[in-house]
Amino acid sequence: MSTGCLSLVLHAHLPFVRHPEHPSFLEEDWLFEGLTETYVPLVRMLDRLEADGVPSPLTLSVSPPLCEMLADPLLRERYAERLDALIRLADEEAEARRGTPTQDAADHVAWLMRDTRQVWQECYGRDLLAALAHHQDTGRLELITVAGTHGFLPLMATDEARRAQIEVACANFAKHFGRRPEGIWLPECAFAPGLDRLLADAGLSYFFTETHGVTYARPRPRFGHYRHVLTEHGVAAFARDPECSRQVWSADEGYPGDPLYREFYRDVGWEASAERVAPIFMGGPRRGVGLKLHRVTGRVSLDQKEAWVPAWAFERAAEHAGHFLRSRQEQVARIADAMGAAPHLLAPFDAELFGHWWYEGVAFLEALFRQAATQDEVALTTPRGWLAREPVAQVVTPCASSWGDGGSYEVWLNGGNAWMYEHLHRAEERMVELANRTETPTALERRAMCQAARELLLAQASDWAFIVTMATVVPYAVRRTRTHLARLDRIHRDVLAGTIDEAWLSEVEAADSAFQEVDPRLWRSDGVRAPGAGAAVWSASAE
Amino acid sequence: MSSGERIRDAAPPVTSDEGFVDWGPALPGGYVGGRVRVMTASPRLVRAAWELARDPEEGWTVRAEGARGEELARAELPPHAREAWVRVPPATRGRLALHAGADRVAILPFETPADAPSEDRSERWASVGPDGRLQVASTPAGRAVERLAGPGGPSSGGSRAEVPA
Repeated sequence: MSTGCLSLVLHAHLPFVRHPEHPSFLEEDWLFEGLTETYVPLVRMLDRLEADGVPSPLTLSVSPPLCEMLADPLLRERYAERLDALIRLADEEAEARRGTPTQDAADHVAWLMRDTRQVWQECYGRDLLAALAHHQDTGRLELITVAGTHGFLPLMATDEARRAQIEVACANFAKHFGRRPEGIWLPECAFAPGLDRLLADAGLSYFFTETHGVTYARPRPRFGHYRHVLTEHGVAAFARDPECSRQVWSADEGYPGDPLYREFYRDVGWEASAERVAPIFMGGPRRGVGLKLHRVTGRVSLDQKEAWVPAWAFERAAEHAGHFLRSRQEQVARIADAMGAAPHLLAPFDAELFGHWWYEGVAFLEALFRQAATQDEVALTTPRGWLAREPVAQVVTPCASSWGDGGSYEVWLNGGNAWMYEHLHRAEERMVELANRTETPTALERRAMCQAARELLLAQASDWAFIVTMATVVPYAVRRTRTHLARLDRIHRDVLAGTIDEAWLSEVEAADSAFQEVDPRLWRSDGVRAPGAGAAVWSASAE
Repeated sequence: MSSGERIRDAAPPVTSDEGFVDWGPALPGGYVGGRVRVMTASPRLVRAAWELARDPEEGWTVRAEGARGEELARAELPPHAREAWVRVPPATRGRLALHAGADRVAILPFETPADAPSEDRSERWASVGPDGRLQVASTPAGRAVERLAGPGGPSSGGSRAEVPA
């Protein structure tokens, strides 16, 4: 009998990036890298565990924008082309590095690219969502959704917008996976009291918070974050266990910095001749391409990194999995003894940590599942599994929180990105106005209203405010925000004036094509049952 | 995309050699209509923003007050100001008033989250019934674990000046 449980939750999300107007687009690399390094390897891992009869109680949130991109024919075709180009480059590298210290690494990368193409194209028929659905349907994977376009719910001004983000997510999940979700990942783990009411209305039974979302709840939870709590509306909240996270996530204490692991920043894309990488860059700027042949080595400059040795690295990943499991065994034994009750540890991570940022991370997970199956001190489970085992919980109001730096909303609301909210809030109001305007829109008006909803959703992605704060691809984030808002503004104006330009609307529909199923009636005010629920925004007219 | 503790720094921005940066279409510099908004940024920081028809010659005053009307923060701002970042205590349910010169323009509620565990130790236990509603359950055995919680709390506050606007 286990003395405690551990739930591993991976959060898979990328903003919707699709640019048919360009033959190649830099930010589409995010999806292609995620596919090669994280999403395909994770499904491959689940396949192997299934074949070997090893339980894999993993919870995976797949955001609606990511689902839409994984299902998109254009992006699938572009990914196939990218894989072909990477295979050619990897083969050339393998050939050129015969007899050098990086030969094993180059051979591994060449094999990986071919294997990825074979699996994605032939085993999965380019449909990774179907592969995920298979593991969900066989009970080996708990799939959950993520609110809409990863909008930061507490910073939305209208009840209609918060509710719509949640409903859009549930509908999109049903479209791709054949049923409504039971759980939801709140974007950035951002919670404000009252959001649970909206989740309950949508039939969702659990969500996750940062640690202090529960430890600072009111009243104080007796078991801290070591068991779930229930909100007044009957929704379960699970809080992140920082001890679990630190060993995997931390730059200083975490596993990914091990000297034997693959170095992220040294990449063939920066070193190969311009001629050889041209088919990948397609006129774009030089950048990493995901072919990496060196290991972390230590705190040395990139040119002093030593060759990555796959066998050593994967052996180390298995050792780290063993260490992680032993640490959890000790942790649950210690907590169970102190509490007099079985604890539940929640270990949530960005999915892209495994494979993309930490190449050996998927091997770590696989080794963890295999080793966990041979012991019974810590039971690997899922939130649903835990709730079935331990349905009774303390009723509290979780604290407003996020998993951003400092645990507050400041990463997404600060002096650098606050300007976005003036426009986003106004856009919400315009969408609500359109939705409330008429019961029976014409076919063209309905098309326009659907597109207005898409533009609002795409503008609301928390990624844009995050990118501005992190000062990475700021012009792109600003351009995306402004473009979607401007399109919504024009649709709003045209619908009210009765001057919808169908040709222009068709262009915009083709460009921003996500969420074909979207229903603009979700933004109607007559569906609001809980004014102010989950908001950290208060509005008033001037007196 | 999350923030917080990261295993590696974000990749450096990829920049183009071209001088032109496409920031997208221009958005309105402001909107018609007298609107005031307050947003919670952290347990100790709220942002007020306003769009009003004209600027007062005397400038703006933002005043945050607690539940009993006590003043928590006060900021004087120039006529062209459109926002204020106001430092307030955590776990506060208060009101924020915007004045144009001597005239009060708007007053709004705001709430900041706690930055420490609650002193309320009352307990209510439940499970969720088939209809999704709470069903009262008996109190389980087990002891409180606050001393085990370790360094789980966030670093609070931030270092923002009281009114950087």
